[in-house]
Amino acid sequence: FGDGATSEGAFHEGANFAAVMQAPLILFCNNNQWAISTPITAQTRAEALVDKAVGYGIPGIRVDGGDVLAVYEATREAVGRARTGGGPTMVEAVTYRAAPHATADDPSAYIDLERVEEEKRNECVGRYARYLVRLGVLSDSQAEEIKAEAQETMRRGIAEAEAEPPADVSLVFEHAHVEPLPSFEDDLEELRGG
Amino acid sequence: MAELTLLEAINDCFHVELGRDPNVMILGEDVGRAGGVFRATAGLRDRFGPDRCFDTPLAEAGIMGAAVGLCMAGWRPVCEMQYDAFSYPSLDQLITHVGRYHWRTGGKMRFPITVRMPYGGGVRAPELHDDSPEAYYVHTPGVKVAIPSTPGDAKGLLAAAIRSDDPVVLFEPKLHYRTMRGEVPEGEHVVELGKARLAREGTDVSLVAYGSMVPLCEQVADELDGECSCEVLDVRTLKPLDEDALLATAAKTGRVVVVQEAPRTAGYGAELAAVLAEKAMLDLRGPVLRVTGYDVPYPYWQIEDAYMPSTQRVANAVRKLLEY
Repeated sequence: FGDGATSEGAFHEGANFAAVMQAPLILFCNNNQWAISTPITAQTRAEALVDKAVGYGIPGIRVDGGDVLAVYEATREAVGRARTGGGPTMVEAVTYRAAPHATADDPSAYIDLERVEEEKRNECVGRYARYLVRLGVLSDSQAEEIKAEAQETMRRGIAEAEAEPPADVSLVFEHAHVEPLPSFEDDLEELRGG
Repeated sequence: MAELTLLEAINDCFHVELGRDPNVMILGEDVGRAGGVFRATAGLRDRFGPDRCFDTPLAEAGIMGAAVGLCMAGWRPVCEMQYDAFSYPSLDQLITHVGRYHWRTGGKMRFPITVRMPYGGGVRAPELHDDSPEAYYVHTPGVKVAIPSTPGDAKGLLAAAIRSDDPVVLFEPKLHYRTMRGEVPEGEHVVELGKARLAREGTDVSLVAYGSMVPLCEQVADELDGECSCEVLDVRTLKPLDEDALLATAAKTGRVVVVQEAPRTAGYGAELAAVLAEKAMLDLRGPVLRVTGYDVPYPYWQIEDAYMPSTQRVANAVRKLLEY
């Protein structure tokens, strides 16, 4: 869940429940510091979102969300705690949103575009690749190959999805219930032009 | 066959259903240690353990949301909402998740959730302890709704709800929790969802109702005996509605009065009236009349009797229809 979601009542109730029940849960917050146009400073007065963990009586870890290995370590700690009956952990991974929230969003109205460009350099995939290359574990050509493969997988997936035949109108009613309402039969007939 | 109160029947159902299926469990406020504020879940924590009947924090959205997760882990949770109006904070979880998760997962996951709560007024309670919220639930896609009016049906419908793989919400008329006794079959007893019950046969007017309004209608039928013959149909399941039963009684008498405790506008009675207008128009001699609560917050106890549908108001509606 994102930074904005921590303001929802359901977050509070879920976290509290999980803590009381000692559920094997990881509350993983991807704090990219923006909820559409709302900056984190307008979302909470807490210095860090992970401060909320104290309120639920559970441990919290704040981690650089752009550092793959740091996030891995933090998650590993939380998973270990959950698996051994230690209850929930809240992990706050801090990043920065480098793209619009959605296609209809124009961040230039509210965001410092220079800051965005700066933060883009912290982007996790490129950062991790550069680290692995520095270590000698990954060559530039391998990195290119991986990137090409990923793009090919994506393109193939999109093509497969777009090639699927249009859904039958019965899909409107399918799975609304395990045991369908009696009215669905007539409704579907009407939809088919009966 | 035992004679039990509505509450005892519910408790009896729980003992049977939790004993029958180890995946059935109950969660809610005060349901475990105290056995529920109405004692509906008495003895269950002791008999089946704290994992099968546990006390949640005071958080209705949490209860409803946790039930969704519990289903994913293979449980069949029964959520108790302590009172009707206390359920409102959980409506988001109901509408956003409970009602649509089966659909959202393309049928891959099932959510056999039962939600039950005492509903309705007439018990001299403060605000938010007397509401009839059934319309919000009926209107939610993916959710089924049933309302018993007898102890036998309270047990039977609860069993059906628990065994259904669909989310089912049950409203129990708290007015009759301790005051209504009735025959309750021992052991396993299931009343199929989607089937109404003809509580009283008659020929002149059909009184269509559910929950605590059913005994009220039976009382009206008694009072009008000699003047006219009233048929009383107990809807029992609001969704899916037993349309055949509704249309049959309309065809038989040609005069229908719908009685609901809930506020009038867009209440369930309007749904019944619409179905009748659509499918029984030619059978009806006169309009479908509704006797309902008013479009106001449920009033404080000193004047609640003025709000509740009364035998007088129902009888007035009957007499009006007899003119047609």
